[in-house]
Amino acid sequence: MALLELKGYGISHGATHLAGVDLTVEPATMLAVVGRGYGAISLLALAIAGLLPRDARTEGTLNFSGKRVLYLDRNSEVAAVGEADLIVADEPGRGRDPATQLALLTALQQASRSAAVIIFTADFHLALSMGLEVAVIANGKLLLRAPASQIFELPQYDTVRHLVGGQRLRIRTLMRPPIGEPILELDGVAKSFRKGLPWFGPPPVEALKRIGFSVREGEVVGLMGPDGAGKSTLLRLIAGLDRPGAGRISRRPGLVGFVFPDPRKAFNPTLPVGMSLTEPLRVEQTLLVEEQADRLVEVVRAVGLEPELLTRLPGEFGPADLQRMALARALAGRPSLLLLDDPTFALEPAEAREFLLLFARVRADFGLTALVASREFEVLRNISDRLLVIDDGHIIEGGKPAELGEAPGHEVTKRLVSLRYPGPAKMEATPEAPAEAAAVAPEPAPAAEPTPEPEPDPVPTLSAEIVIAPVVLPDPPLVAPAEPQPPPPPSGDGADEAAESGKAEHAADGLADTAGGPDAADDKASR
Amino acid sequence: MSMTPLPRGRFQAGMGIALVAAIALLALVSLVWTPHGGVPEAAAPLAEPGREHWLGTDQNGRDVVSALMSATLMSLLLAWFATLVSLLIGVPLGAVLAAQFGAGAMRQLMLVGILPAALCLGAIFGGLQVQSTLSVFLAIGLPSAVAATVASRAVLAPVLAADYVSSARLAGLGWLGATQRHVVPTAKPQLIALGMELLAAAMLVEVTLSFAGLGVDGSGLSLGTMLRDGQQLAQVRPMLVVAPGAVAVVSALALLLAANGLRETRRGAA
Repeated sequence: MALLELKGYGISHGATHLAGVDLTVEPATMLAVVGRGYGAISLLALAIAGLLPRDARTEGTLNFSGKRVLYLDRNSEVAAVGEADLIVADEPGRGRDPATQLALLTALQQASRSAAVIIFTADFHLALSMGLEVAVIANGKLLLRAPASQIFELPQYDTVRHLVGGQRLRIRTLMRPPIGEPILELDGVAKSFRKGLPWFGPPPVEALKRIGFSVREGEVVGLMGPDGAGKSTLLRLIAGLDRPGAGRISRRPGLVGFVFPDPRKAFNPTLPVGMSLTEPLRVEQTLLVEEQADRLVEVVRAVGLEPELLTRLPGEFGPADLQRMALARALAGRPSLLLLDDPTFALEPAEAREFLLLFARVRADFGLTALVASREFEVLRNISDRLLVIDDGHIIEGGKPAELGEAPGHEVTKRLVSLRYPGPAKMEATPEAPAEAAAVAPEPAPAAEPTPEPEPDPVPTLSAEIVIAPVVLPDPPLVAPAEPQPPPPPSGDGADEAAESGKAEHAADGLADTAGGPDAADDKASR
Repeated sequence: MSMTPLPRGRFQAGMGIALVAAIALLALVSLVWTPHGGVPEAAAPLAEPGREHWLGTDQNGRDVVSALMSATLMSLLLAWFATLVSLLIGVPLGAVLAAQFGAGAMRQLMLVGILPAALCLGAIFGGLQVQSTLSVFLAIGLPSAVAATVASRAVLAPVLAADYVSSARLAGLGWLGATQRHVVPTAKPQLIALGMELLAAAMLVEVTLSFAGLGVDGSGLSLGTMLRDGQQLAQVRPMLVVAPGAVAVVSALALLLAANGLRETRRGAA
């Protein structure tokens, strides 16, 4: 008898609907329910865990024949899984650093020996690399159920292509501006924060300890580090939002463009986005009103959006489009330096890929100099000329992304560039005691061994593992960047998708209120 | 989400504000007109409530309705100015603290902030023994200023730290421009609600102090002094106590209702 059985199950809550879901889950199996985030899949996760908000309406039947369900939201640690016979994990480890996510997923994988595990995720690659069976939810329906690797051959593939996204992102910057004189120089920069008032509180915490580096004109430098390494602090110091406690920051005069991690917090919710976008233009008092309008249209088009959207409120956008608007705002003042603080933090994997492609294109168009902070090697590898690894307030190493990926010099770097998903479960082969192994992050041993791989160029271990190499994917529309010379038109597919995600966002809002729980985004912003 | 405020919050705010406005209007009318001109009529001390004197007269023959109107004006003005001063001190101080320390260090701040206020209070009532309208004013205003500082810091800290404020600062608007454009509109409803709560508290403090004989000058007429004077006669003429007490309590509750409604409205809009 199945452990969990859904028959014609449907939920509506606010603007989020899900209908006609037939799903059975056997004991001690692992299943990934994949769909665009924004509500529907989270709602299903809550329903299975019996945690639906009170005002949600359901139809059909949901039978759970086990005793105990364990529900994990994205901030949960996998601690006591032993008792449960069903584990429902909603986006496990999303927004955490790769090592943490790997540890979580590995723990879940091991737990699936004794309990059924359902992972709800927007990230198809997670299911693919773990070799899971996937149930794909799209447009409020359960579309198909199949092993992840077979999805590409199914007739429904076209419908779910947006979920799968670019199989492996490889951005080639076509017109890279020549790299010139230093535009930013840091020397011995330090910063500490105190929690209380002087004399009263605990001693201050050193966030940055003698940081020194420089960024040259036309260069994109990636700043990679785990959570709490000091990335955001450093960017805020460079921007001039905070003052360094010691050291010197010299920067070429001019505006700084800043893109914040969570676009929903980076726009005043009561003002139309257009109003926010004009802010950087007010400095140039010589600019006529028409010129301001032209500039606005230019930057909005440059990020692949329509100027008509400028009259809307931030709440009417999905995170992906809003982050594009944030990029447009940063560009509007013709900044001499662009700072991006974990720009893909609030985005889903497919959206993140689109954003990175967009960034690469905009970079070429505008000849940008930028410093991008992220915890994800996969993000930085694709867009930066040079990587700096920061940990615990120190720059611990630097180099070309490919080199660092090949031969990380430090333990921290190694963790960050390594796998973020465990491989397919073949647990019987590994002789370690499973219970303990679940608790700690396992050494990424499988990654170290060069798996036979038909990919011709040397690739970092991360992508080598994520990519199921033999599968040849049709390129998703945005991966074909074409030539950057003509004004980059947003491809039709992308626009549709944008509209879709805009709609879906409302659903997510509705859910966020009721689902409650500390949001990872909050943690980020409050740091 | 949506911009429409919760209807309940709106209703509360509307009710509260209407009540307070009505009371304030009656009080203001006392400047130009009262049923009996506020002049004691020696002929009729302690008159029963009736057609001539709706709520009767007090021991001096003063019409209670007329007295109540003047007393309400006095109490409201006192509370209003004390609150205004405390907000004028507290909000900028709270803003500076918020900008400097963010949302942290709350406990230490309370300690540091309350100490001087407590000392001042002690000095006023212990050392100086000044019984005057001024001392009531200070006694209400000083602790209220501390409360205003702490509360406005709590309101302003998250707004000042918001990414969109940072973004405006970077865009060249600076602290001043960003404050005008983002901080003031965002924080205004909450600060108004705070002011209303402080006003309610101030009215009650005035009543308490005057009742205890520490308040408004002997000859001055306020809700507190009315309560004090009526207290001995409460057995015979309960209206002498009930009327000023009711006005004080209803005003304070109406203010709190309005403040609550405003907060709820804002929460709905956010």
